Amino acid sequence: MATGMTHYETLGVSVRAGTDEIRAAYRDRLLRFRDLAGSPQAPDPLLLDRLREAYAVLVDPVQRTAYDATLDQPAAPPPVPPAVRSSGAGDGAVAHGFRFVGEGGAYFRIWIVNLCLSIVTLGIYSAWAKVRREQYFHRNLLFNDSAFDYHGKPQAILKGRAIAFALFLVLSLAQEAGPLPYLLALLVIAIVAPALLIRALRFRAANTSYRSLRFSFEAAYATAFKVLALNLLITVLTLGLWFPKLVRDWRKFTVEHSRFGTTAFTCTLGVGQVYRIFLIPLALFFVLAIVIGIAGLKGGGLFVILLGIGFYLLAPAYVMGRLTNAVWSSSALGEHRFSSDIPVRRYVGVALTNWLGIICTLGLFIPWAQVRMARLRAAHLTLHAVGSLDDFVAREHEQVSALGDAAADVFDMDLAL
Amino acid sequence: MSDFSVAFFDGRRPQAHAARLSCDNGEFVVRGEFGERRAPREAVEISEALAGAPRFLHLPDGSSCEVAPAGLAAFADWLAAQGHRPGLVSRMQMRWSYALVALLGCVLSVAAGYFWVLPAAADALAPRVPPAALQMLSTQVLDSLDGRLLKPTQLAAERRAAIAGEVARFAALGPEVPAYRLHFRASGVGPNAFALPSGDIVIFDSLAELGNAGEVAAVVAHELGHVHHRHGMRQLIQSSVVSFVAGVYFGDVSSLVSGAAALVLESRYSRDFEHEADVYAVGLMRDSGRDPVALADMLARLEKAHGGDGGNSVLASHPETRARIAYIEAHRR
Repeated sequence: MATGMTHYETLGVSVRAGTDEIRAAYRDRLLRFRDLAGSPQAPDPLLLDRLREAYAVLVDPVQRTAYDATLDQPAAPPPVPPAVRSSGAGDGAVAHGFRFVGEGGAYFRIWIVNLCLSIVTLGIYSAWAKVRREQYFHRNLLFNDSAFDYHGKPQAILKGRAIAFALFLVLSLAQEAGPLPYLLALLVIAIVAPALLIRALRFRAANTSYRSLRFSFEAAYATAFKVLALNLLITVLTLGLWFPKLVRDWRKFTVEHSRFGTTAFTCTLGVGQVYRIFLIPLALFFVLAIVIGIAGLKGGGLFVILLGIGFYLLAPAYVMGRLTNAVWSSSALGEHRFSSDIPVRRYVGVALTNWLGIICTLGLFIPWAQVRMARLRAAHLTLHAVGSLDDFVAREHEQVSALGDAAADVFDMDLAL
Repeated sequence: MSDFSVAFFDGRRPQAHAARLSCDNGEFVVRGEFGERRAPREAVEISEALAGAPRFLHLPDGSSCEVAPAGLAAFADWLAAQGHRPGLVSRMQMRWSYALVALLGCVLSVAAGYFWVLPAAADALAPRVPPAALQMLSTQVLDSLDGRLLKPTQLAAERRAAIAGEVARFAALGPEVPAYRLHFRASGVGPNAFALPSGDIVIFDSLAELGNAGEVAAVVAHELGHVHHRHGMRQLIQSSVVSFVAGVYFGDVSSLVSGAAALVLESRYSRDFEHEADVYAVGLMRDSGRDPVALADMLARLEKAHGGDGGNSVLASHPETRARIAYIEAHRR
């Protein structure tokens, strides 16, 4: 064989693999190939031909028997799927990729069944639905052939939601009741929100595990208050010019207070980096404002609306894509560095087609959209391991109430910001 | 098959150990180079099957076993052989047939909720809102509008008195006509009138100039219909729920989509309300010995004043004016 690889090795399956397994492996490799195409780690284009040929031969019993006969000796035991990429850094680090192996169709079934039950139970079952969603997205995220896991309990989430919802109701009623209660409600939110956010992050981290080791999140209230309240105040005072600083501080805060076992995450994200990300959308925003102003005067109503919607859709996707890359690429777990290299065009393209798909199908495309995004993000995330990845140590596990997490749901707080 | 191959993690280090899982006398047993772990079956938490996602067994000591995607089918068979049955929901999630039933269930229950349950709930709830709360809410709305969109009226006092006099003839019909208060305001947004849940009815100067006092009173009769049927409160309840649900469903995508969806869905309710108010106004006009066609004339003039292109008929909060006029003319007497 020209490549020196058997068809089995090309697909990463054992010589005894059944047809279903071969089909699954083929699909998996294809998706991986597609996800990596166009990135700096683009695979050899010939790999696609080899994959197709390997699949065509192995999936047909007659051809496969003939092919097996040409292999002079039984093939070696299944090679480890090459999730390991060579690290370009040359610092002796070994690059390990992440993979998301969930599928839109499979997730649709889970999503729709749980959605139906949530509707019929007037929302009570949504706590169970949430746990399934988290489990689906954790358990299908693979690193070094092991999956992440989610341990949140629906009962805890339901209880937290009930309390958070009551809080939400009281605060919204207070906002309606006049200027003084309104100000009081705002004050309560400003004081309570950082505490709730810390607890939300703690709940999420404490209920995530990898290879039986839990993650954790720990931060002082004062730090969170400074990062959020102070930055928010300056952002308002500077008419939004301070916003990139807020985003940077918040992202750095969420990463740096997380741990895997006893090992801490670090983040060296710079303020300048985030400002550069916001530069283009911001400049575009001002140009657009002028164009819309002129077109509006001349009565180009439809044109203005299209332009506005286009910006409204593209700008957040652009920022999210670049921000994801910047945050991960400046983060590390102990001495192991992360990197993320999602092509921004791909990210914006996926976000945009997801949006269109969801609108055109009245929301039925949502599961596929979420799976596509998870695949894209995972396929471009890499951990550059220095030495063994087996040396992390577990720490004492603690119980965390779900109130903060539920509050984040009820108040629609976006933890990723 | 009595035992099964898994990856074992001891809960202390993220190191994978090859292991065999078996069941012995009501206990799960994990064996490997690390030795042997045992735990009673009830104490072991088995994560449910979620399509092709790896599954876990969590032992009470914090260790766990992971079943890779390739071994899931065999693992499910093995579990079944041990007498472990997946839950109902878990089984439903695996089949397309149940997914389609669930889809149908979603559509039907949302439709039932939207067309029957929500309007009925709003209808039942609205009368229970204390009058003091209604008054507070309405005063607040009017105050905030007075600051921005509405200006003091320019109408002559006699003209206002003439309209008030015409409207008073409705009130004379009996106690079933709701209590009301008339407010005259100038506004730049074109002729209009609206009723607040408390019975405060606001008439724009531009509307008052569209017809004679009797014709303006016909429009007030329509607004009294809104007050009588508590449309304001019902609309508030219904649209809050619709916006909330649309926000939860589409919220992840964008607030723009959820807002647009809510807007389209709410407009159907308000069209129903307009019709109810028309029916009420026709009755009031006839009972007070007047020709309801005055309302139809006013509607035609209103549409003309607003440009009357009907181009945004889907979002129109007043249904096709022609249909409303036709209804009024068909029920003149």
